[in-house]
Amino acid sequence: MGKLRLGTLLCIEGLAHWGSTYRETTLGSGISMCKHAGLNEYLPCIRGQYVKGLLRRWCERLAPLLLGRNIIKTRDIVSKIFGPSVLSNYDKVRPTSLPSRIYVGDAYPVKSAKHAEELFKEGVFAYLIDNDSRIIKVGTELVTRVRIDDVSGRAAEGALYHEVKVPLGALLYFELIVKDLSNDELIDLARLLLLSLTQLNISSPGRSGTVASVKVVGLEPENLLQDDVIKEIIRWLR
Amino acid sequence: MRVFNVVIKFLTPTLLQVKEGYRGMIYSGVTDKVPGSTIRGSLLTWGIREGIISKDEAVKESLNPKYSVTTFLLTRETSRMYEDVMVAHALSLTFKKGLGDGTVYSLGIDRLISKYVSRSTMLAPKDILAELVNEVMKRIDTKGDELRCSANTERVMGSSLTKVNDSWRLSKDLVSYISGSYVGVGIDRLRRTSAPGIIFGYEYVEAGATYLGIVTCSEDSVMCKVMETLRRSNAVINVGKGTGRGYGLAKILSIKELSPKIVSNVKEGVYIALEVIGPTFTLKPYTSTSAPIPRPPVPGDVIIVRNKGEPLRLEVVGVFGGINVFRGWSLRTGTPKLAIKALDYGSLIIARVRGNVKLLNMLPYIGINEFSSQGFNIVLPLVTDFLPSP
Repeated sequence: MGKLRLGTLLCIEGLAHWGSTYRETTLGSGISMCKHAGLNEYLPCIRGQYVKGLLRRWCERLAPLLLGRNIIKTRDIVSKIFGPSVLSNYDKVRPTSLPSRIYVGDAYPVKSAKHAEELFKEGVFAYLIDNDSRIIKVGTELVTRVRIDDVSGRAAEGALYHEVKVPLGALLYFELIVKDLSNDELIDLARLLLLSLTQLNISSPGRSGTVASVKVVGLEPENLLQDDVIKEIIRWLR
Repeated sequence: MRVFNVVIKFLTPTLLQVKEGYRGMIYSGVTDKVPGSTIRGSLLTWGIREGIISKDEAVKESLNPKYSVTTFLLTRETSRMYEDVMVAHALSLTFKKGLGDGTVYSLGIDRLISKYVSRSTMLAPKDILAELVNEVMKRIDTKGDELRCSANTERVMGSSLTKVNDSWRLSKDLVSYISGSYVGVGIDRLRRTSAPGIIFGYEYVEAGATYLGIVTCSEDSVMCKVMETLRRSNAVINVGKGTGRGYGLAKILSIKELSPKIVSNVKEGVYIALEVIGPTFTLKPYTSTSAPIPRPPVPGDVIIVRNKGEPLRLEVVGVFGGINVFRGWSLRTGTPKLAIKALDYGSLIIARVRGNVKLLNMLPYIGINEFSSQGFNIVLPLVTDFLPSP
C-alpha cells in the first residue's frame, strides 16, 4: 500500500481573505488564525478544513471529465478519499470503518519558496514541532468597505464594515497526506489532485475575489514523476 | 510485559471526547485528559495504515487484549506518569483563583482509611465523608485567614495534576493555552452550499498541548509491535475527531520504557484506597436475576484481579466520587459502543485487600481486567496521600 505526500505553496497575488473568525477585530469578519505549536503564537493561516473543501470541490468537478478521457480509472475516487458524498453508495466507498485516509494540514505563512521546499524535505509536518524561523507571522491589512443596498443599488445606511486581509506576496505552505493507497489509486489520485491545484490558479481560493498562484514544492513518492501526465502537470505547477 | 511512558504533543487543534448537543449547540469536549480508548484507536489505526499490523490482527486482539492504555493527562514535556503527573482524587481541593499559589490539597486519604479501620460499627460512606469534611474545614477556618477559608475552597476531582517543586498544581494552570472554539456552517451535501439554520461549534484543545500516559503490553501483542516501530520512527499520529480536515495531528515526543513503580509493601487484610485513573465498572448484576450490565462498583462488591497464580481480591467497603456515562465509536464494528456507566476519573474505592497483594503494584499498569485495553478499569492503589492537607 502506498502513501502520497504533497507539499504546496499558495502565492497570494492581491489581498487575500478567508474564514470568518473575529480574532482581529470585533467590527467585521477577520481572517482565520492558527496557533503554531512550536512558536506558541497565532499566525494568519488557512485552516485544513478550508483547504480540504477547496480541493474536494475541484476534484468532484474534474473526476468525471478525467474518467471519461481515461486519464484516471478509479471510480468514486473522490468519495473514497475525501469521504462519501450524499450521492455515493456509503458501503461501497467506505468498506472499512477506519478513519479517513486523507490528512490536509493548515496552510502557514513561510519566508520563501526555497524555505517551503526545505520544510517538505525535512519530513512530515516537521515545521510544526519546533520554533522554526522559516514560518513567519505575516502582517494583515484592514480594509474598510460599504455594503450596497440590493434595492436602491447605493450604499446601505450604516453598512460600513471591515475585512482583515493577508497582503500581496504572502506565501502559504501546506502539506497533504493520503495513506493506504493501491498503486492504481496512487497514480489516479496524484493526477486528480495536481489538476485540481492547477484550477486554483484560475479561480478564487478564498473569499472576496482572492487571487493566488499555486506551486508544488514536493511530491512523494518521487517515482510518480515517471508518469508522463504527472510530469506535465508538475511542470505547470513549478 | 513491557511498560512505555508515552508523551505526545498536539501540533494542530484537537477535538476530544465530544459531548454532542442538539444541532446548533456548541459541542463541548474534555481538555485536560485524552481517554485511553481514543489513544488506543489512534495507535492501532497508525499501525494499520503504515502496514505494521493488519486490521484482522487488531480486531482479533481487541477481543482478547494483551495490552492496556491509561488515560493520557495534560502536563509538561519532561514529566513521568504517577511521579510528576496524577489525577486529582475525590478528596482533593484547592482555594479559588487568586487566593493562593494554586496548590492542590487533600482532606486526607489516610484519615479516611483510619475512620474505616477504627470504627466497630460502620457508618455509611456519606456520613464518614461528612465527618471528615467537617474536621478539615473547621481546621482551615480556625487558622484566621479570612479569604483562605472553607467557603473559598473548590473541588478539583478528576483534573490532571502536575508536580511543581514538591507541591501539586492543576496542569491547566501551568500552560498558557488549553482550549478554544470554532464555529462552522453545515454544508448541504446535495446542494453543496451552506444548509439553512445549521450552524455548529466545537470546543477544541489548542495546538502545543502536551499529554502523557502509559501503554503496557505483552511482547507478542500487536500494540507492542506498534510501540516498537513508533519508538524508532519520527511519526505523527492522528487523535480524536475530524482528522481528515486538519484536526488532531499529534507528534510522539518520547516513548521511554520503564519499570513499574512499587506502591508499598501492603499486607493482606489492610484497607487501601484505589484511585480511579480509567473509568471503573464491574459487570456484576445488581441482583441475582438481572442481566450483567456495566455498572459502578458499590460497597459489598468483591473485585477479583486474576493473573498468573493466586488472584487478588478487593472487598469494596466504600466508594467516593462521581459516576459518569462513557460512550464511544467502535472502529472494529463501525457502530456506536455500548454506553458504560462507570466511576468517574479521580473517584476513590476503599477496599480491604485479600489474596495475592503483589498484584496491587500492577493495577496502575495492567488494570483490573481486560477492559483496561480501552482505558477502563485502571486504578492506582494509594496507601498514603500524595497531596498535603490544607
